[in-house]
Amino acid sequence: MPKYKFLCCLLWLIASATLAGCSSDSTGEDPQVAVHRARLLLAEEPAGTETIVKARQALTANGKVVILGRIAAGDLSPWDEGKAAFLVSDAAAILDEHGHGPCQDDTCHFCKGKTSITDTLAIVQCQDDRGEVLPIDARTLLGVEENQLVVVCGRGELDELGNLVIAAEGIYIRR
Amino acid sequence: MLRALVLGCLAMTAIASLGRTPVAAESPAPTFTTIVVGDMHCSACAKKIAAKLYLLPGVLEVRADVANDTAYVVPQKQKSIPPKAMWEAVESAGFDITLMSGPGGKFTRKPKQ
Repeated sequence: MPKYKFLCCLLWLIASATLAGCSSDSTGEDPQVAVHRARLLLAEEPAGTETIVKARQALTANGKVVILGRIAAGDLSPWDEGKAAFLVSDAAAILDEHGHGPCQDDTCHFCKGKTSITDTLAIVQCQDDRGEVLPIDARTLLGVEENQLVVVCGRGELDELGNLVIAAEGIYIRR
Repeated sequence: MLRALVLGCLAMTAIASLGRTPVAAESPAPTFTTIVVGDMHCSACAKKIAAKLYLLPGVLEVRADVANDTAYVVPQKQKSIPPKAMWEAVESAGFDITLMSGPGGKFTRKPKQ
């Protein structure tokens, strides 16, 4: 009889643990991560979205920008490992096309105004109050993945290499 | 006694499974819009159209079939994109639309909404 009692207790413990495990957050995440996530992630898409190219051209003194980009950097990794920073490319840069190669026509109106790769890239940084990039991997902080479309609003400026660097104030993930 | 124990075990498993979040059923594929333009010409033209379409809120993906002068617009789940906005986006890229067909209807002229 004591044997069955022991087994019943054991089963009860397993069932309780299963129930508790399903309902609570057992990730042991740093509370600061949740605070920054809540501050940065937007539930609604902000208005006035521009392409990266347009945002660069229209960059004003206050640097306010709202850009749409795809988390991608060609053959390179878009992530700054361990930091809340990543690269975004123009959303249409990676277009799924069928049935046609590059343009062969020198008179093509739209191929004439091609932009450089730098013009179609932006560096997105999630910073703290002191302007330092948060030491949390962007994937952990925001739950973002490569090739996702994101709308980033914040303050942009060009660095010494001519890259558009955006200090993000809000990020909306299109999914 | 052993039977009671087995039954008890099954009951507890059933109770435990009730607490779990149900796995969401696979939702149907998003309904896309097909846009046929006069002449897409090349991949740069396709990207020009896609760049404008992507700026519309709710657009998740744009695909292009240059050989058939066609673009496909996939919306985010639970979102719809006004046909008029898509039409104007393509026009603003410098292309004429010959046909637009999707959840919002079939159009050969600029939609009112």
